[in-house]
Amino acid sequence: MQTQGPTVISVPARELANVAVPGSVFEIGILRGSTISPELRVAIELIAAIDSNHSVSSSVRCIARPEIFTHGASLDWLMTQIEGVTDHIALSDGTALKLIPGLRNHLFTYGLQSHRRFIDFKKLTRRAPELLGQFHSQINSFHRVSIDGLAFEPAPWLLNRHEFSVSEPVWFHDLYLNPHSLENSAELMLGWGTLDTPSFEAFSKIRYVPLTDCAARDEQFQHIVAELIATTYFEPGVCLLMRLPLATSDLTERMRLALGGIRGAHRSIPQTRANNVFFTSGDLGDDVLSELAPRLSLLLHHSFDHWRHPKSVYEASEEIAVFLDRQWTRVSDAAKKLLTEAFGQSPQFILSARSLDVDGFPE
Amino acid sequence: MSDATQNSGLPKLTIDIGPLFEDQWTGIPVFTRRLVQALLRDGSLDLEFAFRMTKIPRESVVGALRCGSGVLLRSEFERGAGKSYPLIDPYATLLFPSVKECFNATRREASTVHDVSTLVMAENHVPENVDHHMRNLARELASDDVVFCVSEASRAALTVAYPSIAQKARLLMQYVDWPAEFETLERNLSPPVLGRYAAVVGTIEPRKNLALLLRALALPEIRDSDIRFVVIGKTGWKVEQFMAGLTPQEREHIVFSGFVTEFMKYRLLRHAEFLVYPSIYEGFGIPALEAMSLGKPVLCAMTSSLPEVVGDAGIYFDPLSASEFAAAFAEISDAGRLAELSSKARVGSNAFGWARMAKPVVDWVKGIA
Repeated sequence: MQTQGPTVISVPARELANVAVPGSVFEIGILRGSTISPELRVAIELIAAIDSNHSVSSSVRCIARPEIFTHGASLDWLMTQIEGVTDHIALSDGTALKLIPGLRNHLFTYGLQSHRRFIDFKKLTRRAPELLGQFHSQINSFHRVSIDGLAFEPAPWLLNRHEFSVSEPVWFHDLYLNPHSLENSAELMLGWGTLDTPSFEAFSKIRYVPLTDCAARDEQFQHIVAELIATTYFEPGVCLLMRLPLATSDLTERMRLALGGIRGAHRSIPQTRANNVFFTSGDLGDDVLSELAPRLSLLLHHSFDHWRHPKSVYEASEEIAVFLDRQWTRVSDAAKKLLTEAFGQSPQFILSARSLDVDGFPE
Repeated sequence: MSDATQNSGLPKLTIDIGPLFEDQWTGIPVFTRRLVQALLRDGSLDLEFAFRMTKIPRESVVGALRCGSGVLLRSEFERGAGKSYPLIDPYATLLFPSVKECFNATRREASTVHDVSTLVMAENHVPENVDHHMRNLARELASDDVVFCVSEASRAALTVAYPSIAQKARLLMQYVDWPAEFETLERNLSPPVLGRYAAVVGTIEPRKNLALLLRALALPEIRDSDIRFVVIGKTGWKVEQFMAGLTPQEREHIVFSGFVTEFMKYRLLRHAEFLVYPSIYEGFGIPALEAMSLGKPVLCAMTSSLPEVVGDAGIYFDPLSASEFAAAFAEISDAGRLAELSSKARVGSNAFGWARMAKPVVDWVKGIA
């Protein structure tokens, strides 16, 4: 599923706070040259990079607030400004889902690794489920809603990166968890200093878990992570790498967030410095992942933006497991197809044991 | 004879008057007052009033309407009078002039949607407000026999989000009703000493888009004009930074009146050159109609409900474009253009009246599609 013709995009209003918008419709280049979230930057680069084969050109325009053009004169005015446009890609951070009447609307969610945004999105789809049901397709996601007992799932399509290089150095920290004091744990880990890159040759298997803010606050997922940590302590030939959540730039805070999630699982973890369990300060680049790939096993939380990495990295990995929110009792065929295409292999799916409680009602 | 008509012979309607319990009536309380007064004047329904599922005596409501405040109504209820009030009839036809406090309380219910800004622009609201409006909205709408929307824009936005309710969404548009004595009082007072100014009316909050005025101040059309902006309304939410950041020069050009009485608002509008309405989103936009009723055209954002209310009595601009705003400002500042639009303003406002507001409710109660 792709766009049919000339396309406009819309972005969340909060992203425009530091953008000097000249009017309601403007060129995507203005966003590129402004301070926007890194996640949005990746998403718009992906959209802008769709070549002429796929209809969207690099001169994509952006609508600042499509929701204000509701009907009649205001909607006519907008249509005059974007004459000839057939498709609208709504980039959503979970706070709103914006449809433009008369265009083919496509949804691209990003940034749901933030727990707050994820909850916002869950609330939104619970409170106004018919909104999601009206999107023609969704990019990189497989969101579903239930309307009158029927499942609606806009057709997913994949738009992923072809390469991912890391611009900032990634540091590795030996794990240490004092369940009585996260501050003490983080302090010790930081005090031990950083490893440039551990010697991976010694390990026959490498597990990689890119933690997100949402994943760190997901009790069910943390049970699995804590179990992995405890097991890995006793497997000297195995290495466990956990990317710290990117929620803030404060490394100590990120450590506390990750450790807090692990502690919350109430699994006994040896209270000693691990030599084979590490936090990484940032994403591992394709070069590192590709090198590790034959021995690499990935555990991805549903909030992780899988499209950050190219297919080649996933394809070469030994195994991939995806932890899903228990919105449904089974994984949809469309979700399986999308992720299989993204990974070049069929992932294993793990459904959360408990559903999320929104507005006092579990799903 | 059915239960609905057994007393007066007229079909009965119970109106939830919760919004009238507010001390200061602006926005939804004023809408509720106008609705009640329109239906009383129409006279084709037997009206009852309710709050939290108990009947409120008619004389208490009429007293509050006379005062223009809910202070006495609320204190009477809270002092304990409410304990003796009877419950509403579960078979009543019940109308909520705003969101419902409960649903499926009676056999036949309708609620009123003023706007869906908490859904489409949640970032402009505090989370508690979003939760308050949105938590039960889907269930409220599902339990409604009819959903009244205060404008075509609100109906369009609502039915984009909830297409399944499109068949039962009807319009309920309000009107302007300045008290008759305002004109006499005004005639006996000197004009306010403010020089030439354009009025901006509304609670100061991000959606009102006052930042556009600041951006436009740098442009010659605004900077070199002798017309100032007088912002009429209380300071709302999420604008602390905006207000604190105003420079002395900006405060020269933009004057803030704070909350004013209805009469002061009338006066300030009456002496303004025109109304500026830069809001990025409105459910209806009653200040535009209020200004038009006094012959004042509107320099108006091209957004949501504003074109349907203002019609040809305004000059429109892209609400995110300072240069478009400045160009529109220059156009409306021209004396000839202003006079031409002023005559259209009064005509436009006459299209909205009490009978137009009462009719959809009467039709609903009587079962007219």
